[in-house]
Amino acid sequence: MKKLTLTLLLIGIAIVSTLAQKKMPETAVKTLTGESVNANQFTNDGKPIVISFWATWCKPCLSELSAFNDEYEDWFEETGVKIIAVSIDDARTSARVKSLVLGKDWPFEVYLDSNQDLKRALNIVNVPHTLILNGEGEIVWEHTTYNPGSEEEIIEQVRQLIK
Amino acid sequence: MNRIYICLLVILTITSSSLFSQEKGTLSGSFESNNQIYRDDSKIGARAPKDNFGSNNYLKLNYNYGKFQAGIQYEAYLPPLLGYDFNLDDEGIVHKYVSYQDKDLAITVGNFYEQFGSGLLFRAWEDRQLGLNNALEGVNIRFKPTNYISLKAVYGKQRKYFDTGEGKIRGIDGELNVLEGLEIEGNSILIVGGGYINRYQDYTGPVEDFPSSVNAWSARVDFSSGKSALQIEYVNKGEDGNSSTPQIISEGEALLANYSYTQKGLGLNFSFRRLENMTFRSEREAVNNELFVNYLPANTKQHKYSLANLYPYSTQAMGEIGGQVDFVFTLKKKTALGGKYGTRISLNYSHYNKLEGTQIDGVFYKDSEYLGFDGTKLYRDFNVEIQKKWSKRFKSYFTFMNLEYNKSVIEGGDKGLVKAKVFVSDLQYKLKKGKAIRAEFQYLNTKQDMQDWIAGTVEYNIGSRWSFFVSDMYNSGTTDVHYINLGGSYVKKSTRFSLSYGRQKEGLLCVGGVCRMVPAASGFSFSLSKSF
Repeated sequence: MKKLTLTLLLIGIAIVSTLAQKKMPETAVKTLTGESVNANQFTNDGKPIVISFWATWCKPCLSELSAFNDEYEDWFEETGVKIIAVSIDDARTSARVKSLVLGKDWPFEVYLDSNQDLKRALNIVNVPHTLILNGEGEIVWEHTTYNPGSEEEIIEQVRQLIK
Repeated sequence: MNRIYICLLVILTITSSSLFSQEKGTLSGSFESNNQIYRDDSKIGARAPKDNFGSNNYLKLNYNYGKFQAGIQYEAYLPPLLGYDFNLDDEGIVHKYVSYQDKDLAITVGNFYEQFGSGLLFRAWEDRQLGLNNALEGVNIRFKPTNYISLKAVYGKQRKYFDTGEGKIRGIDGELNVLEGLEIEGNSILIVGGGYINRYQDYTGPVEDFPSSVNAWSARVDFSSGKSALQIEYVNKGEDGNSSTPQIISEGEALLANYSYTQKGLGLNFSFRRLENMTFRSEREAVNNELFVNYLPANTKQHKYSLANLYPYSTQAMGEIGGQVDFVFTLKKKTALGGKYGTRISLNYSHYNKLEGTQIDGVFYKDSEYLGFDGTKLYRDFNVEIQKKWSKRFKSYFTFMNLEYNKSVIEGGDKGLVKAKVFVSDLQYKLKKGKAIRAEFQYLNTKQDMQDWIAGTVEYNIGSRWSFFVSDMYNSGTTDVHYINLGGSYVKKSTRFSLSYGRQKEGLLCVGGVCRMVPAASGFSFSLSKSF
């Protein structure tokens, strides 16, 4: 019983906490050619950015990115949105990221977060996890998991931002 | 003591979020809770623990104030879920740190995660699904004296459940972006790097020259030019002491090479790895997934479907040699084979052999040429994946896999080499008003081990929030047992709640190539996760 109370208490704490306006942290990720970039330098000239955390072994992540890929031409034309895909693949699979991204012909900016420093700094529990940044670089929306069709909700949020 | 911690946590959370969040600092964090109520289920060999309950909980809080950051992670296992080490049966703040970070310098005091190169020499990381956390407790410095040099230093002891291991770790690592340093413009990038790790653990036994101090170093090159890229990493590990017998383990070596060729619509990747005597832990006596210093994931394709993961390769750190080839390409839109939307095809071939030699009491004696491929076959996997979109609503994925898995060597027992073929089809159909249905059918065919398996899943999604599933995995070959599961989840922004009821098969659960044995279990599970 005591244990259950403790569990409930922890859940309570998590819910009580309010959401602060987060920005991207100053955490380094790598480009596909091995160069370091700090995540707070992600920009899209004042237009929104969608950031998707994914991994090559994560089925729903690949479904989400392939859905983005299908819609991207239209989305870009309409809103100027940029899509950044941050792979959390570690040494096990990170060598496959580049061949997968180019092989699938994805038009996204791709970074490697191979010891999950950025994922941790953003308190992301599991992938897929999607963030939307407004033109000022503030994280205004986030969503975990992917269901087919969720991409509609994401582009709707982006549309609201450019109004 | 624990109550005080919890009270502090509550106060910190509430006050910080209401007082500071708008103006000065920000508080953020995450919470994850995984629970299961167990029942006995003799058909699958599942035995419920004494109080029929398991619960793993993680609360992480970060407070950010300008260039300063502080954080904690509180973990409670009440008791741990089945399959997690019983040493985790405790609760408390296991991870705490303070750090300063600006553009060129980051200093962390307390617990931290870090990695040198690809982790072949050193990696401190966390994986909750594996119950693995080997974060260092000590000091971490990252420094960029110029924009083309980056340096790292670590010092500390590794986490072991709710304590730290005995061994001390100290290390440095440097990386140089050569062409940028020489101000050579162009589309080539050359990065060279190197690292050094020392582990010290007292030894008071009788053996002379027993290595209480173990040195290891690495050298790496990462070169890319236009469409080609080459990465090579070499690690040398000095003599180490054996835990079960008073013997000395000889020098170890690891070589990882990777070449890729990529252009729009085509990606090709070759990877080779050879390991010899590379088990490296910060305490000689450590077992299971405790206190790993280096990270040696299986260098094979990580599959996404349950039957394709029935026989997962796990690294043989004392001696293995092999590699994989990966080929991904897109058949263009509006061509005969590509169809209206284009077709995406992935091919992969992986092969690993044991290094020829003998292993006695944990000590490996090599008996082969450096690149000798004459050891026993451990694993071979050839697989194809085809992804095709048929219309705005309908998408399909097909997977075929032809696999050889040396069960006797990898898991033990007398099943020998298991040869299996796996077929998967995964169909996804979008209905009106944001609803979607997904159906997955899998078939595994083998004459060895437990013979044939059949699995299926049907998933129904409503918008981005609701998701329901029913799945079954059925061993038609030997046991005639069904592993039925059903459940659902609700997601709102970054909060996810899920429920499920059913059976879980015993076996190897591998994440990122590191595995743990999961016992058979049956019962009702519920989870909550949130980031804030």
